[in-house]
Amino acid sequence: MERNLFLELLEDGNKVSLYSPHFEDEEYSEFEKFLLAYKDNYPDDVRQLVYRLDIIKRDGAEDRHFRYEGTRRDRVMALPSHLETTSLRLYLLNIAAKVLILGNGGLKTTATYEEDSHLHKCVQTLQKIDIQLKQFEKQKVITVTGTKLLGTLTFSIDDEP
Amino acid sequence: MDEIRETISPEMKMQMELSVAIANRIYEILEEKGMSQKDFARLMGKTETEISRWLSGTHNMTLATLCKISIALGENLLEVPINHKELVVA
Repeated sequence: MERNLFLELLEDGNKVSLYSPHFEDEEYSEFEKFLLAYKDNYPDDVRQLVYRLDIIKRDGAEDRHFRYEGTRRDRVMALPSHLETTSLRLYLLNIAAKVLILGNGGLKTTATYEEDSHLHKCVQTLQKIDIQLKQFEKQKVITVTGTKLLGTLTFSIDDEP
Repeated sequence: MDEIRETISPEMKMQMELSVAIANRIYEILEEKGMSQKDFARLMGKTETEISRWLSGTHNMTLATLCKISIALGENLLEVPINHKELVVA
């Protein structure tokens, strides 16, 4: 089923800006949904993730600060809980180390994310967005200028709620 | 996110800043020495996955590990002033 979304700018940073996909039929962006789902039961992990994002915005988004997830062809990465207190993971797209598109995530209790239906869906949604983004970047419909995504930030992907 | 930021303690911030600073310093030293992560892993008797975790800045390193790395790389990662009035600086 085709779902419309827009890439919502969450925060600007000196070196990196944060965006999140926001489906038009939902109240919250994917990252907001993640925060709402985990901030009460895993408050320290969520605090650490938020502060980690602040450090990244300030210092940069080099690949070594993330864990590779998804496949070699996509730009899906994960931010684990800082200091590894729990297995909470946030999935995101790292666009040229200038823009992070923050998705959803959860607790990783299986060896691979594919074995967990919720985590698998989180990654798959980002992979679909990544495919569309790459196409738009190639067509210059969307460009990364500095730390901003410019162009048509509204599009649809084939996804299930 | 701002609401969550207001609840982050100074101690948590400091621990995270230090762990990132240490990871960055190790990364810089490897670059300066032209040492790959693979070489570093071999030197430390660790897997490349473990080294990646060290360099991510999210790993909670022990003092023992920091000392081993300092000796292996020939660079002091930690300094504590003699008068102990200041905090550990990476």
